[in-house]
Amino acid sequence: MNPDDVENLLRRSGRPLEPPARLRRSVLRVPRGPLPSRRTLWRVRIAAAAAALVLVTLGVVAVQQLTAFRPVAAVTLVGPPGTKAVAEVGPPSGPNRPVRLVVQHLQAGGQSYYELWSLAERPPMMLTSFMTDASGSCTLTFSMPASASWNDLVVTPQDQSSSYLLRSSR
Amino acid sequence: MKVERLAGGQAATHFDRITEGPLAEAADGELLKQIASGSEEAFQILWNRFGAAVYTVCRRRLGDVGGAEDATQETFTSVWRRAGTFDPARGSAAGWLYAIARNAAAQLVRRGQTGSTLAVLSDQTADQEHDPVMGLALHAALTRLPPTEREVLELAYFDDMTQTRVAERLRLPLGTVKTRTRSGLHRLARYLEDTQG
Repeated sequence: MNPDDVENLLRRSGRPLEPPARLRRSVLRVPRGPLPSRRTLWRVRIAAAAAALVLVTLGVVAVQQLTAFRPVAAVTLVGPPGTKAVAEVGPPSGPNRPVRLVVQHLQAGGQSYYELWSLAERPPMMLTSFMTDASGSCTLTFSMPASASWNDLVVTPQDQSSSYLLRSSR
Repeated sequence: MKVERLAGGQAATHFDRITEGPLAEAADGELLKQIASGSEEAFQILWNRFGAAVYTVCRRRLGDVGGAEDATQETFTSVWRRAGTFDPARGSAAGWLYAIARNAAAQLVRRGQTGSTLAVLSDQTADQEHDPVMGLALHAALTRLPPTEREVLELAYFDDMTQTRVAERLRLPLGTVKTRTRSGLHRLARYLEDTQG
């Protein structure tokens, strides 16, 4: 090997490429223990992200399951043809219990407010008041006392507690 | 540069002087010997000397940056683990490193971890211009040159500048550029002769 050979070799070989700084850091850590490759690191990151997503999804599902409305009774209230309501009563939660009321075609546009009463209570107990949309329908959820009866429910116009628009069948 | 210069325990007393001590000037084979005995300093010097050269080989063989990084990492991991298997009687350290790098690149291709195909892994297609081991050794030898000699050689041979142009660029007398060029070429020739054994 003489300087002329070196000159030729230099011309043919070209400039070496500069390795990235992260590669240098990664290589110089080799003596301190095995390191996962860059691709392995990415796989670990992706797997961790996927696991986190699964956990979050499971958590959301679990919360939904725990907080889902599970009725223990359903009371149908009927009135003029085509008009009805269903009150689904949930299990007690402390001193109250949840109720979901689904009302269909209740005198569309006829009233501003309606009231739901439990006539089995003495005196009768107003459980909630509500409004309907333009078609006379609505769905609402509310709480009623856990000890209150749902055996005789009625829907009345506001401030007309003796005028029953819908009533549960007894 | 001869191996005997670092024989015995003498080298161990200078391990802390990585860039200036005797170990920094050690021959490639001696560095591998020290690495086999667990010297991180020798490993770092070997990286400084061969890192860019091995990375360049891997880039040229594989074509993609990610694959080249993985192959280079794999190469130096193998060097750390298998330095004790290097036998100077069977070939140069540069040739040994080149074989490891080539195998690391081939493994990546076989495992489908790079966009390259096995077809690009033949020496004929990947390094058709010159002996790839000599190219690797040359790039490594360049890192051992004094910076003043290295920069004139790089400008002249990699950037294809005339010596006059190099002198203008570096604001040096033309005679100095010629001296440094000549000195650098001789030094490189000596390093490469050592490499070839």
